[in-house]
Amino acid sequence: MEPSSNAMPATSTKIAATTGAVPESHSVTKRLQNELMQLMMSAPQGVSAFPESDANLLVWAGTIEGPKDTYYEGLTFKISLEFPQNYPYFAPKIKFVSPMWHPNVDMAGNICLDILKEKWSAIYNVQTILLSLQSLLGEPNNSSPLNAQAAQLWDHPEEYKRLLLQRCQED
Amino acid sequence: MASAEEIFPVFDASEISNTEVETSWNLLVSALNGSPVPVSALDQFPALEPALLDYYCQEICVYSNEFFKSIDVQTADAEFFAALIQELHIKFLTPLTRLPFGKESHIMVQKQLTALLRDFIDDQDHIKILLDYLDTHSLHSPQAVEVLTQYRQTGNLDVETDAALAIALPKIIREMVEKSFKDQWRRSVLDDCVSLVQDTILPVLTAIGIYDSELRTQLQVLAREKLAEVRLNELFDMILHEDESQPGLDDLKEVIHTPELRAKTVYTLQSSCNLRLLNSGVDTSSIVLFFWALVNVLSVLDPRGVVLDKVSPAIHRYLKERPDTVDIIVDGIIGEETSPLAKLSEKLAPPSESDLAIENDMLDVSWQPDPVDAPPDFVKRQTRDIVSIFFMLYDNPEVYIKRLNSVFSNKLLSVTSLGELSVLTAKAESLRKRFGQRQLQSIYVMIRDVRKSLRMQDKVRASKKSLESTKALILSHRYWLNLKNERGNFPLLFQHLANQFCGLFERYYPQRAVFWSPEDSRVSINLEFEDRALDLTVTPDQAAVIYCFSETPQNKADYISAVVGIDQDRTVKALQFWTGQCVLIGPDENGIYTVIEKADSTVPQDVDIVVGDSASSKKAAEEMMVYWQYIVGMLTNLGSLPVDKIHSFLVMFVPKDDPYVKTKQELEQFLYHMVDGEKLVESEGNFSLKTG
Repeated sequence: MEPSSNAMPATSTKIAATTGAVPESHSVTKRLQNELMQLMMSAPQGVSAFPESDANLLVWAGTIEGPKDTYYEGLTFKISLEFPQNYPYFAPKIKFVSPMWHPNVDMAGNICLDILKEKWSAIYNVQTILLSLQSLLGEPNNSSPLNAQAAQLWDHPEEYKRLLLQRCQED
Repeated sequence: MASAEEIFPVFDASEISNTEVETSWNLLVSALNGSPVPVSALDQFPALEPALLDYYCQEICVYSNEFFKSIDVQTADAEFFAALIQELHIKFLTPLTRLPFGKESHIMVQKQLTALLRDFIDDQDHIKILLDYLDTHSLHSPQAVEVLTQYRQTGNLDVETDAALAIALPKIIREMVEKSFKDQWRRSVLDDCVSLVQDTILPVLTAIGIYDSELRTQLQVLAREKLAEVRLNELFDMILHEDESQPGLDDLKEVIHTPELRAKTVYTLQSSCNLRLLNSGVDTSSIVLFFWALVNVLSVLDPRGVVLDKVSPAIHRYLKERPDTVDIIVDGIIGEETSPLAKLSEKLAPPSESDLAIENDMLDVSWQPDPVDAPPDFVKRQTRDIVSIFFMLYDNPEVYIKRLNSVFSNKLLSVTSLGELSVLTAKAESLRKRFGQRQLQSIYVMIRDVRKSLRMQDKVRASKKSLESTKALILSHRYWLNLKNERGNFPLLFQHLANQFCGLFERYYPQRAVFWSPEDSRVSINLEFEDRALDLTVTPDQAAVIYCFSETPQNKADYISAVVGIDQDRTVKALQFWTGQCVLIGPDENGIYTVIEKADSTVPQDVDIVVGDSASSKKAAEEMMVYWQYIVGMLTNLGSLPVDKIHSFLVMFVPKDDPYVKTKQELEQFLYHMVDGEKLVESEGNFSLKTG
């Protein structure tokens, strides 16, 4: 057989002088909407978050799965994220909603994590926060604990696990 | 017939004390039997008349009661009663005429008889018996006229007869109209109908003694009403054959004025639409066509649009559920020759001022109040313009613009000459007049691209012989949404053509660079086998891959991949295409693909390969997959949600640059699809992720 070829390739031009899109006003909703899109599109393993209602983009619910090879493996934790009006220049308020037993989380679910406090930067976003929290589960900062008992027992796997599960079942 | 003596027994002295009455009576009886009456007796008769009459009436009473006892009321019908009435009349009134009684006495006896009949059977039963009779007998038959005359005139049962007729007439007229004029909506029958009813019914009523100056008008009203009912039942068919049914519709317009009939119009249309239109067996273009006809028909029948307002929501909802509605309407708007809605393109001209003018009640001399069935918040439809009505189907008319862009981009891609392009430009121009420059911006950019490309092509061909059969389109990549617009490399076979073109292009447009989009490119090829030849338009990958087989009929995928210069994935995809086309067979256990030189060798012909037009449906599925991530996100964090909520989340949170334009129905369909795919679970309308 004899293919005779008549190529008619389509091409696309890129005009060099195109002005780049000027970023629109950094309203918090716009930013959160973009973050939501990024989060949805990249869908990182084991963490997720979504606005709680379609009326208010400033309050999200999140889910964090315990990372593998940690005490938290197989457990799933709900968190709440509250974004201030001046986000991303100020950090969101994040709390564990599910009962949590962890050196850096108090019994009310408050979290002690530097990037959520003094080390906050506008370059962080929901996805980085979620991933930091996930890794915090496996690597606590035992030097400044909110839950002293958990910090002490960190190196006693059996006892730690027992108390963790007991706490998780309180729900 | 009984002889007079049987009926009028000789007086018994014990019963009547007045000897004079007794004597007179006996004289009368004998007179009836033919004996001469002495003149002296007649002289004193007037004085005795009341007493005699009393007696006579008593006798009638006694006799009738005996007689009635022998009648089986259950089986008696109107004909039987008519005969009975006549018999009683002959028996008791005829003799009276032969006696020197006054007229008053005559009437009194007649009343007595009527009272007896009414006593025997009450009026409701009389009516019922008459109705049963009229059910089975034609009103204008001589027998029926006879029976009704007996009832009404002889028996004086006028109240009962009239009541029965009042009940029966509408039905009789309805049957008459239906019999004569059913399915006759291709001509105007209103006058015929009215005169038929009048000519048939009026003589009968006159014959049985009903005279009324209003009668003619009342019959007219009934005739019109019944014609309206008959036509309303056929309204669906009349709309279907809108072009032929104009006379019938005009008739109908003349006769639907009462609130009942208007309500019936709405109801009939709603139910016939549900039954005959809005189900999966009807294709979308038929529904759209019907809806168009409906709008036209109702704009005549009910210019205020109240009926349309009530009927159309169900059709709107249904059309929105159909995935191809937009496509079909857009094809119509563009005036595709194959589209059943091609006439829509003639309606593209922007609606005239008068169609859009907001009504000013104060200035309108012929102002009429809204029809009685208009809801309190009814606002007169501002437009009768069908294109606007179609555009209002969706909350967001973007869907149409999107589709227009996509259709135009497909058409423009196949344009080969400036002549063809000008046809499309004219179409775009008429669209612009309707929808505005802004909405059509993309289309204009695309047209400009193609025009420029065609010019470029001429220049290129003039300067390089090797590029003669190459057509390149230079496209502004932001505007051609249908294209994949992915930069990539051509198979080596074509890459040098592309490179040559690039060189020329950069000479003419020094400031610009060309990027190729191989996935959007097409190659026309001609394959010759031992027994057949194929002309195909394929992708560059496919063309290059099959080209390898022109030298050696058997090849391995990795060899082809190396020769053609594309990666393994693309090679295998192209090979699969050719096996689907029954050009190649393979891979065998050694991974070898072989050319099928003879088509009749045993080749499975039922290979389903999706080519070409699947692009748009695939695109729709891909679009939904973007939303799928959002759905997973919300369900992961918020538990289970109803479809409404999911829909409004998507509306709110999907970025507006590429907005979420699916309908709730489409979303629901997709969600159930995911339930079938065991990704979701649904319970009581709430969807949640399937765990584990």
